[in-house]
Amino acid sequence: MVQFDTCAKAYIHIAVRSDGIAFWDAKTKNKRGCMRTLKDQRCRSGASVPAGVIAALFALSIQSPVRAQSDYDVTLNTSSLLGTGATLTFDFIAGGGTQSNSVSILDFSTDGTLVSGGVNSGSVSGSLPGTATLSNASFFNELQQGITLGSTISFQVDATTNAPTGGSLPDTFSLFLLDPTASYSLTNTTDPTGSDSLVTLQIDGTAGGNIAVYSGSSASIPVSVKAVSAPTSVPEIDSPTALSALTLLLGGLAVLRGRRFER
Amino acid sequence: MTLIKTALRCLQLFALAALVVASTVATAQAAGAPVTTSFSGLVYDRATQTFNSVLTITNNGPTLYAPFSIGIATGSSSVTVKGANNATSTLATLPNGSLLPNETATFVIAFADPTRATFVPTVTQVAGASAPAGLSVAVTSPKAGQTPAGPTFLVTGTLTAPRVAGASVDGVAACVVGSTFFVNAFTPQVSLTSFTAAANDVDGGQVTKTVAISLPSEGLQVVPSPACGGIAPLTTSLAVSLNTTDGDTITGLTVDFGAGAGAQLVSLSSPIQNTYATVGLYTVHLTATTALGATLTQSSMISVQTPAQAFAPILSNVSLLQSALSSHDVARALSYHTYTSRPRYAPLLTQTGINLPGLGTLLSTAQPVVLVGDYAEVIVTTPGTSPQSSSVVLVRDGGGIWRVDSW
Repeated sequence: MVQFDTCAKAYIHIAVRSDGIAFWDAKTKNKRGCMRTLKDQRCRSGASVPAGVIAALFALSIQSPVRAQSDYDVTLNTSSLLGTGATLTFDFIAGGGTQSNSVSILDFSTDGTLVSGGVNSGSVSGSLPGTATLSNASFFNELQQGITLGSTISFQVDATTNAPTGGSLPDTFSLFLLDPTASYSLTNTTDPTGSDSLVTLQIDGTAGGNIAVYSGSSASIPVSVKAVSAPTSVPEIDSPTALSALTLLLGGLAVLRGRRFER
Repeated sequence: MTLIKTALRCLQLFALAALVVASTVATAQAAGAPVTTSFSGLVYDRATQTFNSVLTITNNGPTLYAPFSIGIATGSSSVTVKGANNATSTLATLPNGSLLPNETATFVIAFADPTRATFVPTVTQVAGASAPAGLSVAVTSPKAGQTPAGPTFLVTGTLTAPRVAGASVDGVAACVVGSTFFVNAFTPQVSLTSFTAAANDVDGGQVTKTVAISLPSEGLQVVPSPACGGIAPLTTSLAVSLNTTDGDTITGLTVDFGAGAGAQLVSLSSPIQNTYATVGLYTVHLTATTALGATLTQSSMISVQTPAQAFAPILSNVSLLQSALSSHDVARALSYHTYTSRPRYAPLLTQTGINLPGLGTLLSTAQPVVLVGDYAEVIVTTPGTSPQSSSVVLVRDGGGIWRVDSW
């Protein structure tokens, strides 16, 4: 049993983050005006609420991640182009909705040599080999990095997973290996759009996004993509179950208040 | 009261949040043909300097053929659909020449965006023809307004088809030899004053020709067996009877089997048979005299083929099925099965891990075995050191098209 201080006032804290997602937590204010989260409550006296009810409330309310990170380790085997000058190009194209998404490139590593060259476009911050982030604040966002290719390039891609809104397209990340002037791809790939990308990640609202890897034909550039870990979730709530949970919670608290007045 | 106010405020906020969260990726219904469409995200194509998306279209209606058009609006005056006359009349080529019911096709749509403005494309219309271009049917006999030779009669005509096709008359499968089709001993199925011949594309498209007739009350009924003919040498039998309501009877019958021997008087008490040694399309002419003094004529057609000719339309279907399996197109593969067998094979062809191209490869080994009327069998053999064979059964449907029934 988890007991509540029946004298405490209950507050349901609702917030809408900058990305438009609502989340909530329940807090109580004790007689001294201190806010405590629900799980921290320990009652000194009075009525009680079964712990199972509390567990059920959270079970109802915590859904599969609405805002999650999809993290992938990407490795390019560039042995077939050893010593070739290239432009490693990361595109992030907004799908036109109001959703906010970003993609970060981190843990960049290569046995090639990074060289100057390449022009960034749109909303790009940071640079390689450090962490660089592309956001969908602009329509076309591109990070370019000149490189003399070694045998391998690896990095991690971390993307947010906010779904397209209002019938818009998914924000889409794509990876290219271009010539030093960034004019054409160094290999033709099986990319169904005909754009010769090596990897695409469509942020379609699913936990890991829709990632696809395309093999090169004219030059073999084996690409391996591995999910870093299960997408991490921020406990968030979906509206129908939240309303159910909220109703239960408020009902329970009302009963508690009723008992208090009866006394 | 504070609690109630808080609750109401909470409900408002949750409703707002629900609206935000509920918006998801678009799958849309376009005007025109009943289809579902969805765009992939955009990828920049440096060769064309366009932003490309894969448009996926699922057909929820009958088969669509070329000319196939897709209308797309970009919602931005600075964005156009590359390769189209304008943003609302994109012509697209269908990958398989048609888009079957429940089949999905993908198209790369390139958006030219000189200003790189944000845009949300929508499909405004998808349209296609109901039959393949070049599919046509014409009736040679009986001609419009003519009186056929009897209540049952021979229908002949011509069929042109750019793809695998069959012919039918009032839903009765016709025999097809080259560009000629015929139905022996045809009885109108829908109306006593007309019949409708149809050319049926293997993917479901159809063109028709309706012919007005004036049916007589009496005539010879001639039913050949096998109905269409067969592989040379072929012995065919004719079942001859008088179709009348006045009690008249046949008193004499001559038959010209069309093989050069001319008309011969035949006995009504013994089987009327002829063996055709060489391939060809033969027309049998019969003339009967009756007890009431009438002279009646009737015709039938007999097709005599080589095994290769006879099995060609059967193996064409097997080949289409093989191709569909090789390209993982289950909807198309199922369409090459009979209607009754599709529910049996749908779960098999969609089960996890099934090697569809492997099945296609197996079908590529098909060898003709049996052809009797509307029933055919081919044998497929697994490769390897200990090959195993199994039979594939095909039957001819009401549209005159061979389809796989079991394998």
